Amino acid sequence: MRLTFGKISIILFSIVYAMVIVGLASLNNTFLASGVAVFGSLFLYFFIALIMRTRDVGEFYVAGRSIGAITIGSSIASNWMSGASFVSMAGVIALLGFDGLPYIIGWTLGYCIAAFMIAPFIRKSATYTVPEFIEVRACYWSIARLIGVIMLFIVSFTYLVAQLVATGVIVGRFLGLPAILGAIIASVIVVAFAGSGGWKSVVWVNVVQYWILIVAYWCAFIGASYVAGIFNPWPHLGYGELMAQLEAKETLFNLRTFTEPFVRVFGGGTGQANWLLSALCLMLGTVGLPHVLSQFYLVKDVRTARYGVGWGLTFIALLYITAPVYAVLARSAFSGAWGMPIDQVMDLSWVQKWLPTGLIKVMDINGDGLLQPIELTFHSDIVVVGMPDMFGLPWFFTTVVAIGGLAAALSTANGLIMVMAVGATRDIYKRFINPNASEQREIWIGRAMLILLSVLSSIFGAKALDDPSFSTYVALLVGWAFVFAAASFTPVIILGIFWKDLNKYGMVAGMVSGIITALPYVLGVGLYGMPPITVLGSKIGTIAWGTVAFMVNTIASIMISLATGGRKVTTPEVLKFIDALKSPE
Amino acid sequence: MARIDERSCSIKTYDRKSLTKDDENFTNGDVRAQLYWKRLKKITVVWMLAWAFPAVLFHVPIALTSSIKVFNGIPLHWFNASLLSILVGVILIFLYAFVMDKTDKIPRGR
Repeated sequence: MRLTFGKISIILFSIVYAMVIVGLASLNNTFLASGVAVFGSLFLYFFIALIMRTRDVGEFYVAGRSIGAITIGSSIASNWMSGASFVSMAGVIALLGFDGLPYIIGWTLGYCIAAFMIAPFIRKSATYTVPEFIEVRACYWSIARLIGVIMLFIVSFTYLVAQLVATGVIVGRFLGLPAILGAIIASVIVVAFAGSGGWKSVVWVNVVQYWILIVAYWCAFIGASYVAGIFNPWPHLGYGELMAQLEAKETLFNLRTFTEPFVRVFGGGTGQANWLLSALCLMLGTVGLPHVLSQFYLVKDVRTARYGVGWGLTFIALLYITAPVYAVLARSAFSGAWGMPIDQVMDLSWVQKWLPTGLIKVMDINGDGLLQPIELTFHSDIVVVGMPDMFGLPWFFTTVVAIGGLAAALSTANGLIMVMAVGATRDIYKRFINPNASEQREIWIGRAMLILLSVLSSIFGAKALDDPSFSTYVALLVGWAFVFAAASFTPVIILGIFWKDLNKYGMVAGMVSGIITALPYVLGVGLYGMPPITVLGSKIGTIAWGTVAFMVNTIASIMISLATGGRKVTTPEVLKFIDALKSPE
Repeated sequence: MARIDERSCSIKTYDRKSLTKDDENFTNGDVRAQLYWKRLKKITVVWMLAWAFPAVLFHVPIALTSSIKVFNGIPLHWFNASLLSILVGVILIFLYAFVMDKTDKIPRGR
C-alpha cells in the first residue's frame, strides 16, 4: 500500500483520536470520552471524503465507473441500512414478533430481484441516472423523465429528512444534546462529504461507515449473547433454549407467544395474505428506490455489478439476520422482570438508566405491587440502544452503538443527497435548463444543489423533531416510499429491459396508474382511518397494497403498449439501445 | 454456429438451429447476441422461480412450519423468515453471477 499524504494523515488522526478517548476514559470522564468518540468519527469520515475528492465530472456523477465488487457491496449495504434500520428494526421485531418479519425478508430479498433483473442491465445502459434510463427507454419523451424526477425527489427527500431526524435522536439520546443540533451537524457533514468528490467520495465514506456500523452492531450483540449464554455454538443458532424459556413465560402470563403468526397488525393490516403481500411490496420497492439503483452505475463492468449485489446482500444480511436475535434477547431481558415486585424492578440498573428517557415505562395498573407484562412498555429504539445496559456490559459498548448508529444514518443520508443532487443537476438543470453547460459548471451546480437540499432537509428535520405528529408523517412516508417505488419505477424498469414491446405510452400510463392506485389507499387507510379491504380473511394494510399497485402498473403498461402499437412506436435507435442492454459485453 | 472450448466451461455450444421465428430479432442481426439473450432469459426465469421459494413459498405452510422446532427450540417458521430465506437469497445471487460468468465466456462464433 503506497503511503500518500492522505493515508498518513488518516493514520495519524486515528491514533490521536484513539489516544484522546482512552486518556479521557482512564480519567473516568466517560461522558467526554463518548462525546469525543462520537464527534471524532464524523471528522474521520470527512478526512476520507477530502482525500477521495475530484474535479472530474465522471467521478462526481458515477465515481468514474471504477468501483469493484466488495467495495460497492459495502457501499450498497451502508447506503441501505439507515439510522432507523440500525436503531429501530430490532425493536420493531421485539414489538411485533413473527408479524414483524416481513421487514427482514422484504428488505433483503429485493436484492435478488436486483441481481437477476436489474443491476447488470442498468450498468450496461451506461446512463447516469434512473430518470435518464427511463427517458431513453421512452424514446426521449421528456414527460417520462419529468415523472421519474418527481418520483425520485418525493421518495428520496422524505427518506433524507428521516435520516436527519434519526441522527438528531441518536445525538439527543446518547449525548443529551439538543436533537436539532444533531440534525444540522448531520446535514452539514453530509454536504461536506458529497461536495468534495461527489459519488467517488461518498462511496469510500460509505465503505468505512459500513464496517464501523456492522462492528458496532455486532459488538453489543456478541457481548449480550455471551452474557445470555447463547453461544451454543453460535448466537444465531444457539438461542433456541432462550426462546423456549421466553415462550414458557409468555404462556404462564397468558400472553400470545411472541412467535405466534398473524396476530398483530402490520402496516394497518392483519393475516397471512397481508404478511406475504407486505413482504413482496418491500422487495419490489427495494429495486425501485433511486438511491439503491444509483449504486449500480458506479461499478467497473457488468460482471462486477452482479458480484457486487451478491456482496451487498451478504453485508446487509450480517445485520438483518442479527436483528431478530437482538429482539429475542431484549424480550427475554424484559420477561426477566415479569412477576417481580415493582420496587425491585425500579432497582434494576438498566431500568434506572432508561426510565428517565421515556423509552421504557413502568406502571402498576392493577395495583398489586407486582410487574405484569403489560405494565412494562417500551419504545422500539430501546432494543439496540439499551442492549448493553440490559446485559450489564461496560459503558463503552453504548458509545460504540452510538457511533454505529450515526454511521448508518449518515451513510444513507450521503447516498440520498447525492442521488438528488445528481438528479437535480443532470435531470433538471442539464436536461431542461442549460443543455450546453460545461463540465465544471455541472459540478458547481451539483454542489449548489447539495447545499440547497441540505438546508431544506434540515428545516424539515428540525420541524419533525419539534412536532411529534409531523414526525409520524415522516415515518409513515418512509414506509410508503417503498409503496410508491414499487408502484411507479419497478415495473417500468423490469418491463423496459425484458419486453421490447413496452413503449413510451405504456411506460407513462403504467407509472401514472400505479401512483393513482397507491396514493388514495395509502392516504385513506394510513392517515384518514379508512377501513382496509379484506381479502382471504386478511386485512390488506398500506404496505401490502403496494403489491396491488405494482400489478396495476404492470397490467396498464402492457395493455397500453399493445394498444398503441408496441415496438412499432419505438425508434430504431432506442431498439438498438435495448438490444445493447441484453448483449454480452 | 459458435464453437466452444470444452476446457473453459461445460455449457454446450450455442446452436444456431435452436433459433425459431418466435425468437426476438436483434436489430443489428447479431446472432450471437440473440442466442446469448435466449440463454439469459432461461437463466433469469429459473432463478426467479428459485427466488420464489425463500420469498414466498417457504412462508405459506405456516401451520406445519410453526409446529416444528429446530436448534433446540427455534420454531421453523421463525427460522425461515429470520435466517434461512436470507441465506438462500445470498447463495442464489452468487450462483447466478457464477453461471453468468460462464455464459459470458462462450466465445464469439462465426
